Amino acid sequence: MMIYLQMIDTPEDRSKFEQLYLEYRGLMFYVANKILHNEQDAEDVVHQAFLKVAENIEKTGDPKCPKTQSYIVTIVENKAIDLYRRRQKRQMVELSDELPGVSAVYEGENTLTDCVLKLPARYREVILLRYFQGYSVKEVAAILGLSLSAASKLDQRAKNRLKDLYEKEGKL
Amino acid sequence: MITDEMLRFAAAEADQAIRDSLPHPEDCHRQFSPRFERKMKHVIRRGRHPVTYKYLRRAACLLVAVTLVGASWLTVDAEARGAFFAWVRQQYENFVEYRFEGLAPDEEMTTNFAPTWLPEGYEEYEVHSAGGTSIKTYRNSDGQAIHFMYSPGADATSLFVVSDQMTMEKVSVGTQEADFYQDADPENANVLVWQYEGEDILFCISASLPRDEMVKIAESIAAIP
Repeated sequence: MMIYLQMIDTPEDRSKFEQLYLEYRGLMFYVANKILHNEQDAEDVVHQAFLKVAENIEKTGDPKCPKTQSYIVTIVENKAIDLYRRRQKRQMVELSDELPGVSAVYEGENTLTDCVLKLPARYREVILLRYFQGYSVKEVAAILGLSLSAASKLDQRAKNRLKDLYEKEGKL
Repeated sequence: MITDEMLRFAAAEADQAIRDSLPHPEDCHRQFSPRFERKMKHVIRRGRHPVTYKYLRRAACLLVAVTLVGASWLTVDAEARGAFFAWVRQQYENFVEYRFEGLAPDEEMTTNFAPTWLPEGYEEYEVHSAGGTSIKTYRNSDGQAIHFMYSPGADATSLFVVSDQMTMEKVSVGTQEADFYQDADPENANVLVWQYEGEDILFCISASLPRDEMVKIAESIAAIP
């Protein structure tokens, strides 16, 4: 079962979507499978993520741009965690915001960067969409398939958690 | 205090670290299953031809598609036609179209609607809104979904109920007459369509639920702040 909004209505956007598909489907599968450890589920997630990309195609930049790659990875990670949460059913629902996503190694000296990378995936995704991709809360809501109020709460919780982590590092 | 500038810098660095930790897209080789290839071919083909049916070509601006195993809804922008307001039902071979006929007022509808009753265990999961048309999805812990959609006539949209095998019967939602579409396959979603009393808003519910429960949900629909 799937639900999507499809707004691909110009030849440029259709071409962009096909380029994104050819460029990133392998990487998207890699990311989804890292989280789900199940190839069929990972393929389902890649499909769902592409539907979400199609829905927001006008928000997507040049297919080869690193920022676009990050956007695609964020969407597929989000969808994978959604599916993981549904697979775990009730006992894990409360912990869904705490699930880790793609792991990254950071060797720099910026404590705040380190704290961003330590955030659970849900919170990190919001921070990256807001402060790296530059989307508004309303746009983040559309990208993550949330209501505006849910996206606002998630944004606030993400910033609070980041502040806590930063404080623990003795930086505030 | 963490400033927005600090956040932007940290987010950019974190993003770079994530990308550096992932393989290059060109190095990610995957032999996808035929099932996946079929599904994606469908998505891409629909991207190339957003409106499959020839007589829908006039309506290529906004395509909202909800595919529910065997039944699906498609809503598309259509040109305002005629000088009266009404939703017109038209039966085709394997789908039904509800088309809004009329001149759209300048003001966009701002009222939101939602069911005030759902079967036990269902919670709001997703909301999509565009130009007054809204689709809300509710899920339970087993992943079963109820989709609720409404579209104001002001948007001059068409709603399509599509299924290979369905039967239609007239039912009542409050004092309003409604169309209930029962899919022949009990695994597939059923659809209930009706027009809001005295208004030009078309409502639609799709779920794998029996008729009476869907009518009960429909009767609980109310304007929300």
